[in-house]
Amino acid sequence: MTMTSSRLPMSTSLRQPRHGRPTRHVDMMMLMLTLAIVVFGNLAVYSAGQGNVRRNKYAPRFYLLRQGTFTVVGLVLMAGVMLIDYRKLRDWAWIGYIGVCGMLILVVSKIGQTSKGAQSWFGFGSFQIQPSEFAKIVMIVVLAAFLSVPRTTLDFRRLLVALAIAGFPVALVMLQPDLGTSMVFGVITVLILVVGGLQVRHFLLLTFVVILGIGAIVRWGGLQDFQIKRFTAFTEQSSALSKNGIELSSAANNLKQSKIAIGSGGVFGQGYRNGSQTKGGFVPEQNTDFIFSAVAEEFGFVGAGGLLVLFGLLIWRIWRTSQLASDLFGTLLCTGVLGLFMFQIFENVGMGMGIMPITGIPLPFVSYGGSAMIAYLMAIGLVLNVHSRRYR
Amino acid sequence: MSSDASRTRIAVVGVVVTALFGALFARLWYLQVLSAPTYRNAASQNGVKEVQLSPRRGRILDAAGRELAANRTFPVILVDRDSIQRSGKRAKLFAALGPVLSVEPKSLEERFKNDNYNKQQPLPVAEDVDPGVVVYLSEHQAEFPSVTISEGATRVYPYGSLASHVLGYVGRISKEEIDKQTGSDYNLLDFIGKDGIELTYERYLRGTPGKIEYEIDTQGRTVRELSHLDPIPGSDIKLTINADIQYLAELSLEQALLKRRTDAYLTKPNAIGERFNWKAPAGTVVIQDPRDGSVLAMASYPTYDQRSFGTISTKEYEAKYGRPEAYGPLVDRAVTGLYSPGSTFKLVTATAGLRTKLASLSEPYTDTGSYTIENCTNSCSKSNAEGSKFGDITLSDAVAVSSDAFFYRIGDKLGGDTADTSFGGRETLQQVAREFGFGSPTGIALPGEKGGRVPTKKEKEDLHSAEPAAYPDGVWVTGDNVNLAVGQGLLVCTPLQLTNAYSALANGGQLYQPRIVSEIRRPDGNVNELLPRKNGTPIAFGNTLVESAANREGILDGMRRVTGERTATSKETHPGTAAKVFVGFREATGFDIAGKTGTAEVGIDATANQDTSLFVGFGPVADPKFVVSVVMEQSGFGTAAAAPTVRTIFEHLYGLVPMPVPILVDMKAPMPVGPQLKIDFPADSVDLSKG
Repeated sequence: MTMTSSRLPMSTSLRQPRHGRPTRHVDMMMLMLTLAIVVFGNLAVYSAGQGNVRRNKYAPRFYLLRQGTFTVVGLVLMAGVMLIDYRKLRDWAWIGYIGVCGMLILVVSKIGQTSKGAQSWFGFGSFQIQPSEFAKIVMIVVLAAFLSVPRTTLDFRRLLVALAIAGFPVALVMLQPDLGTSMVFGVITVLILVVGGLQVRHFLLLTFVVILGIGAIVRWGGLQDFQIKRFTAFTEQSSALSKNGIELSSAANNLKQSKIAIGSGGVFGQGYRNGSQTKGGFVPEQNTDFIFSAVAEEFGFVGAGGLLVLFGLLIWRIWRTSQLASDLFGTLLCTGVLGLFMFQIFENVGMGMGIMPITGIPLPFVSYGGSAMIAYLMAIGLVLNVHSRRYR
Repeated sequence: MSSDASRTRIAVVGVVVTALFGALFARLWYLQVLSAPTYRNAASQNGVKEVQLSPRRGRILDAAGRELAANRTFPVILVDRDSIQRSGKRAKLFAALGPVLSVEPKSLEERFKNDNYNKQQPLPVAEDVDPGVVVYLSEHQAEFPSVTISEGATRVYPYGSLASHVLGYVGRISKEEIDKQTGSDYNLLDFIGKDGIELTYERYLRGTPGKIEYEIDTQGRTVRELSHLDPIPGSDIKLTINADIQYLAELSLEQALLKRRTDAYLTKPNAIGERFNWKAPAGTVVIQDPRDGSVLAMASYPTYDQRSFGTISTKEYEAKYGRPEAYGPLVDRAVTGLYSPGSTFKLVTATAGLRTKLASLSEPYTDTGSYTIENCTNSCSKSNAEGSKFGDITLSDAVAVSSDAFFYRIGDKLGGDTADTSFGGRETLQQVAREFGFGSPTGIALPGEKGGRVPTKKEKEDLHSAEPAAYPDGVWVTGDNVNLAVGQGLLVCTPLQLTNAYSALANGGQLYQPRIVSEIRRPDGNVNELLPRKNGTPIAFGNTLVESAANREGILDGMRRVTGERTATSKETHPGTAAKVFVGFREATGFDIAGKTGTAEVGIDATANQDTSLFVGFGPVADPKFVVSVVMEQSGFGTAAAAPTVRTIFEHLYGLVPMPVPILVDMKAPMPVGPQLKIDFPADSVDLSKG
């Protein structure tokens, strides 16, 4: 096992000597980091759910128990994903893709459930499933599979096909409408394309088209009012504190409350389950989209910074795995997962601190939500899979 | 696509990722480390609702401990606002509540919408309801879950308008008053003392408000109580005012003025066939204990009733109190009214004359009926009132008969351009006037007290340059000092100053700061006594102690003779100015009385401005317990209007006639706790809600 061997062209990877069973090469650090963040996230959900628990008169551990269940299910599925050789996924990807697109079609049909302005859920008793979270993983696999066919270059025709593959589910997600998730799809697609060999001129062309597209949407509509408000809240915020007393738009008020929660955490925080903003339920969606503000209020700069360090290390391990992968498919899988995590972390944490527009995407492993927890654990399972099979 | 190229691109991705994490850390550092204090502060205000607990306002007591201002508590029916936000629910509740409270449901709806009720707090739907209603609502709590019963309090003045000028009144604090009280804990719904003792002792009467801080969630619902601070009641203020004497003063003054209005001013019709009575619109009575300066009564007429402010609108208020014909009922003339003291000022001129030996108790001055100012060029001759000629008179005679010529000479000698420095030089008269407390506020604990004016050359020049229209003449001439000597001209003083000056004479020469509050009784039981305060050293009536005592006796002798007492110096030919008024007084009461009449000319147009009638009396003369001053506007000679009033008052004080008993008023008279005087807040007024 030398660096040189791993640097050999992927097409010659079959010449690699065997290094025993893949389970011997599990990235223990990545696994530990994931578990640490998951545990931290469960604790955060327990505290941040207080406001909702009181408001809806739930049992105190309502959210903790549910999130714990999701975590266990997710860990089992993660192990399952790890055990199957990821290269087999290349053949199954299309089945998954068709299945996910079907679910996305169904979710915007009458079967789907609407919450907070977006029709993104299927209901099963007291549980809900959000297919778009799983769609993210499936799309990573499909794009990686499509772009990792040996001895091909990413010409314009193939680029259009790749964009079509990505564009169809994105369009369905936009119908919900869920702008944040669409953006996640976009970032994943671009990142996989770039690492998968996107030509510079195509990159420039793509950038140009995207800018035109955004301009057209803003100019001729297509966005719901609340989506625009969330974005403009991001620009209102510089004076959010000084406007105390004057009614801000509800999104700007969310942001103001989030910043107050984060700011009042200080260096060492107000203590677990003791944040006044968190307990009072002042930050909306505090156990889901705005959970970082609860973490920051209760654990301070030390705790919130610590969480970011854990995320940073996890992303470093994913990045490292993408370098170590034995083939381009593995590299692109890791790249997609990296894009997924990186964008969601940056967007979620950034919007809570007022440096990114407000969108409703979860903080991986920390935000309350079963579909996300299970999907992201499966994504880590993919990366662990690639890592443990880097020698064959 | 070579995998090397892929790895290069992944490396670039790594750089981007690092940069993004750097941005997150930087922002986190900014918010949590650099800006933490700002956000902590914002957070502490975020989830907190403050409920103010009003302290019980201190009472105002009279010298005998009777309540002149107190608080009355009563049940208030409150409705939780959250439960009636929906109009349907509200209509249902009001429809059920209306018959119970005996009001129209419509009026409850009006209250709900009235901005004068704090929208952050439960809505009071009825105050001061019958006990039966309280019992009914308590028993039917299940039917009215959003209704609670609380206690309200209102300021009451058990004796009605008695001493209203002294007590003042309370009202909703105005925005200006809040701005003035920087750093205070008042808010726009608080009541504050607006006048009188209620204003000057606001700090003590108010007490310290308490507050409960509740932590609330985003829906405004209470999560828990964060802190609870009980209010500290205000201190009780005990006055030197005695309610009986106050009532006597007010009643005597009102009756005297009303009677004077029936007396003819013109006994024969004038050229165009008009007849006038005395206008006698207004006046004051001040009764002081000369032994320590305590004010026993202070009446100002016309007066007002604090209770009327409860329901009156700003417009009605203006109509009732603001018109000139109303003669300013809100004005406390005793401390803010400025009057020429007329001949009552001769006390000062006599003292100055005796000190400078321009007046003598033994060497007579020949009063020819007029006096001609020395070295004078213009209107130099001044006559006695009604052309009287008194012949050879001493100081005692001059006081008794109120000879102007006698005192004109002193004014001339002390103040002319040729003022003889051997008499102390210029402004000796002014100096003595200041020693008696004229020209500056006495320092009584009442708002807006005026200091009056002791005219000097500089004062006259300043007045002229400041207001040339009102004071066209700015040149000080000897005639000004001559006018001053008899209490006329630019000299003005308040009735309280005049009374206080005579108190100094009565007690042997010590000027006091008039005392109106004797004790501050703190809620913890401690009592702060406010001791009498001497104002300067005793006034000298002569140049040695022996001479001073003798001279004072000479002045007193003259003042005894004013009321008709026969003394060693009495002359049948020179009866005292008020001798007729006090006929039989000593025999009937067994006590003596000394005093001085005053008749002050006001302006030139006698029809528009009839003379002010003044009298200051004190007794028993050997050891005076009372100094009584009466000032009656547009009522003529001092002996005609003010002196009989003083006699009436002394007959009661000396026990000849029983004291009138002040009447307790119905305390249930309307005094709503809700919106008091309607205040039109400007549109940009401060937010009433805290948190």
